[in-house]
Amino acid sequence: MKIVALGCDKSGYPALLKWGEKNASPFEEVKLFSLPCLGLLTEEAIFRTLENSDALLLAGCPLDSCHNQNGSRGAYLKVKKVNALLQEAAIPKKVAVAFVTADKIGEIEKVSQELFWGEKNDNS
Amino acid sequence: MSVLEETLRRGDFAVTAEVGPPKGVNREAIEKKCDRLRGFVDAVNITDNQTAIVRLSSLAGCLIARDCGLEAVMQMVCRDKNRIALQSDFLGACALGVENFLCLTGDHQSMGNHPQSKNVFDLDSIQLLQILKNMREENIFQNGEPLKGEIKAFLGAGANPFADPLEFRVVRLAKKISAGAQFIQTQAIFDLEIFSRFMEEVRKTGLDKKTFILAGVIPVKSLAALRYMQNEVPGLMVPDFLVERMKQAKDPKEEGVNICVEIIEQLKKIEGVRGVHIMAIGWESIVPEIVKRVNLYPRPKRG
Amino acid sequence: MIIAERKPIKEIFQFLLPGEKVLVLGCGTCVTVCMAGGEKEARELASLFRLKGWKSWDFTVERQCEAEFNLKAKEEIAKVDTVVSLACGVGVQTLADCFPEKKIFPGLNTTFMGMPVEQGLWEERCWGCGNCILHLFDYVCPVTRCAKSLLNGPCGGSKDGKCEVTPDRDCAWQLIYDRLRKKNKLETLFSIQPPRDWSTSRYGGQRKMVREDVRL
Repeated sequence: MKIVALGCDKSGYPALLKWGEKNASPFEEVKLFSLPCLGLLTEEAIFRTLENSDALLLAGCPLDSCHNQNGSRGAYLKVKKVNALLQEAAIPKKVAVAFVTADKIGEIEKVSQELFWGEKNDNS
Repeated sequence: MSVLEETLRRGDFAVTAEVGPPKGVNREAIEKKCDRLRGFVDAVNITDNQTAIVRLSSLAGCLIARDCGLEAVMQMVCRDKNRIALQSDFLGACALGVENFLCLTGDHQSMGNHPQSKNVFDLDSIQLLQILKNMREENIFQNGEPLKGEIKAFLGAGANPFADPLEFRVVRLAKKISAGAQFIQTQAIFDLEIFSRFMEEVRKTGLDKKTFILAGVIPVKSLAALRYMQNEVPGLMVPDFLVERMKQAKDPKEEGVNICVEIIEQLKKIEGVRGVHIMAIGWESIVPEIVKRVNLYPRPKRG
Repeated sequence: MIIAERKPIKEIFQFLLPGEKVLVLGCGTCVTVCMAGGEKEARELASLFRLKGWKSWDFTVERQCEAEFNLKAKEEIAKVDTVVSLACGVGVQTLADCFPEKKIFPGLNTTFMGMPVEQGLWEERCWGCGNCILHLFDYVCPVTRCAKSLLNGPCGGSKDGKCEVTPDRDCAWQLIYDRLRKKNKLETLFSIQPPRDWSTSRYGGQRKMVREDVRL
């Protein structure tokens, strides 16, 4: 499975780095990027990313303490919209977003479990 | 002059009842209802695809009622027909001897059983009244062209004292009267307090002298039916104490009739109310008992 | 402006044959503003097509309803088998006239002429009846906003300011009443509005306007 992980400079990226240390091994390819704020992400960028990967994991500041106030909230809504479209289009790819602080990655573990292995777990 | 008009002009308290045509061609359905009502009402309203549900046409229903010895009020709604069809139907009905007409805008088609249909609403009820009045009095069509023959028609309209904005209801009634409404049949009355206030305004503006107002009533069979009207039917007001009464009732049907009878007794006392219109949809058989209990039986003879 | 919404994705997919090259053509005017068919939406849809296995890209012109703008997409259109237009119905028709040999499909459903009431909420405001009477009703159009287009409303189904037909819609006549009352102009509603001349509306057949003063 080829995955892309994308986090904001403030919280998400450092958290993803930490998460990657232990969790990157099962994937065929992991690409990790940072951007100033998740709010900058567009639906189109998400789709384009998915064109070259199987799943996209986003990480940003907690909803109520986003460094840029509404960035995480915006990302949450876009993820919801994109997933709805992917489902409507019957495209078996997914994007998920975790809201974290740099040192607490529990949320990423939870979200990524469902994003990458969710279906597998359901079936077993 | 129609029996209904004559009764009202004579000053007798009029009684009309509603008869919904069947969803099919079985004329017996209307005949059965009419047989029960004969002698207890002055006229029956034949509804025009009421609540936007397809039924046998109003005009055909009027003729069947007449065959049963009952005078009909032909209801006409603006939802399904434009001014061409409505004027044409009116001419046809007049030529066949229908004399009473009730002009309504009509429920929206989305409330009925063909919600995918187009609607018309070329006219509203007030404009329809005005057109029919001009056809009768000026012998002209809506476009101003003359029509042939003399038209005898007693024109009526609905009125809802309970819809919003309440303060505008009397104004709208006045518009209907000036458009040509010689009689009015109101929405079903459960809340006598609001209706009394409405009538007070009506008297203040002298409208009760310009038209005959028949107050609408519905006998209710069950608590569920009353609750439905209280909660689900816009433009109907049902006071809580009536719901409570139905809840306490050992025999809800009997209590429903009692309530209806009491409401009619109160309505008879309100100045300006000249008759009652009983809408016992699907329960036409109860009308004779109600009419008897409010001492409106026997109906006055013609002439 | 003209409001539109994207057709269900599955319906759009059904327009396309396997392996086709597809251009998603956005329109830069009304449907951009109502976030249904602008450049952003065109890019998203093209990406979705690619995810689904088609060769697809996007292009956006300023106004698809005017032929000269569509000509700017000529080269892009020449490269593909099929165009999915994200314009309103007018734009799709103009586009089809510009490229009669091309397979063109509408990607949007054109819904109404309306306004954005708030972010993400649009409401119909004009029917284009061809005979404006807004001033009589304090700028609430009864033809458009009353479910029965009543000119002598309100009907008996107005409750708590809402329409009985669709209770999440305001009763136009309650609005008209409230606004005129506030302005002490209720008497405007006392006179009967006569039957309308609907011949200026769509009921008179397709409408056409010729202005000699601006013709070349």
